[in-house]
Amino acid sequence: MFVKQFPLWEMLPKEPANGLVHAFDQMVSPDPNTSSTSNTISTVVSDLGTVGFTASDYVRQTANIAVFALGRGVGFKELAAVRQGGMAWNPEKLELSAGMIKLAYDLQTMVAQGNGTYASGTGANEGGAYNNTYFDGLRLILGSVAGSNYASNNAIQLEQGSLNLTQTIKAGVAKAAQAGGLPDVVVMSINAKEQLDQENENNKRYNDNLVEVIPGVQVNQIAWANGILKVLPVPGFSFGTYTSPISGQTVEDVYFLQTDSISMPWLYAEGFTVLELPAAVDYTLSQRYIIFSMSGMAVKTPLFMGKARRLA
Amino acid sequence: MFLRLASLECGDAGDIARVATMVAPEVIHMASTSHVHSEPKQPNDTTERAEEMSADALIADEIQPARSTEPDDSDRVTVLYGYGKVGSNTRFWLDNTLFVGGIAQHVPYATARAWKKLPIGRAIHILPDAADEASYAKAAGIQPMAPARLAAMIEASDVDAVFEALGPERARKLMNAIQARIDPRA
Repeated sequence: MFVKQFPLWEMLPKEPANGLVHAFDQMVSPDPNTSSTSNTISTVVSDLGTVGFTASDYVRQTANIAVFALGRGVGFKELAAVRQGGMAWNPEKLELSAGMIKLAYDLQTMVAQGNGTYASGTGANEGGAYNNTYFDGLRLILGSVAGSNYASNNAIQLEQGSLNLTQTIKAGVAKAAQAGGLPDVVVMSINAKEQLDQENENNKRYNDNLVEVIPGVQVNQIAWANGILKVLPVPGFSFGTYTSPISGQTVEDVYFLQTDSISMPWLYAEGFTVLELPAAVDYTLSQRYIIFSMSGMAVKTPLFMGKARRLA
Repeated sequence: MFLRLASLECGDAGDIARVATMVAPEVIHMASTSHVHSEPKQPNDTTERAEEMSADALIADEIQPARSTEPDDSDRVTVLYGYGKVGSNTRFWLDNTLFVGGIAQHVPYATARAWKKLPIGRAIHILPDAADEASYAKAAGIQPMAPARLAAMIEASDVDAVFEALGPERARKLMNAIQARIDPRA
């Protein structure tokens, strides 16, 4: 149940953070001579000719490491009652797993729409609700939101118009590939996935060709111009909706990602840590725990990824 | 004259040109609606003729589907989507069409018309392919600045820069339109 509920957070690669905030270089152009509108070859030299040196364009970014923490516990009276009543369930375990679900949900929501740097962001606009203890999520980063740290990151933004969702996703991924990327996963809400399924109801290849992205989670795939794209639906309201900065309509994002250049830097431990507090430490007869995780998100090549805005 | 552009958040000659281009139609429009005529139009009314000429000549009208001016499906048009709401260098796609600063040019009219029928259609504006920035501003309902501020801006502007932005033809039309108001008998 856990991985099916939080596939996006589970799927993203994790790496140790390099400080209180994770500093990394975000590539905005692979080479100064790369252009999708020309076919200039600039790297050929004559025999013994002088080799030209270039470098990619980077922007130094820092991903905040957000601290997710939650306390859960059970009173001694309930613990004793369950045990002595002969009931075959563990109230502590139930509380802990519910706490982890809440934490994972918050983490996954922050991956989608977190905003820790763009003070003008709200829940209703593309920036997302601002809180400086958050880390920045895909909505803000791949939205290249004007005035934010990502305004010039060259991520692809595409609005769904006359095309259906399948065509829109393919169009967006093709544009990311044209810029040099190779997106491998498209993530979307369950509602969007349902729309996609309906469009592909008669597509045998879509319906039969499932692949396991993480243990226990099998997903559909879409063939696009240069490969196969895994379709990852995300249950719940992690993605949210907002007002399109262009049309003024309420929209929801669909993200196409190149997962080998996204990571979730962590401190202390990669996943969740559970601290058991000494019983009755504050003179309360209860057994309590703190569950916590410290994570951020680093999108290293936003120009190879993007989003499609669909009407919600 | 030196430009006082800091208050207008304009940075260079290109911005000056853009502002000048965008505000010119506002001058005309304001003036043309400044008084109400209750009598039928007189062909010899110099003022009205100047108003009509200036308004028609400087601004391209938005294309409305199913009107007599509707182009053929294969004709190319300019489409505004998010113009004035996104930055002038912002790039995004609507379906497979690239918009820069909310403007896509050379779009087949059939495609633009299909967009107009969508829920996002209210934000879509279709213009002739040759329409200029002033027409974009009018179609998108942009009010560049208050008239009093605009007048002050023009006074403080470098006339050469304004002239260069407008070009001789549009500058002459603007001059004639203003001249007609200064001296209606001319």
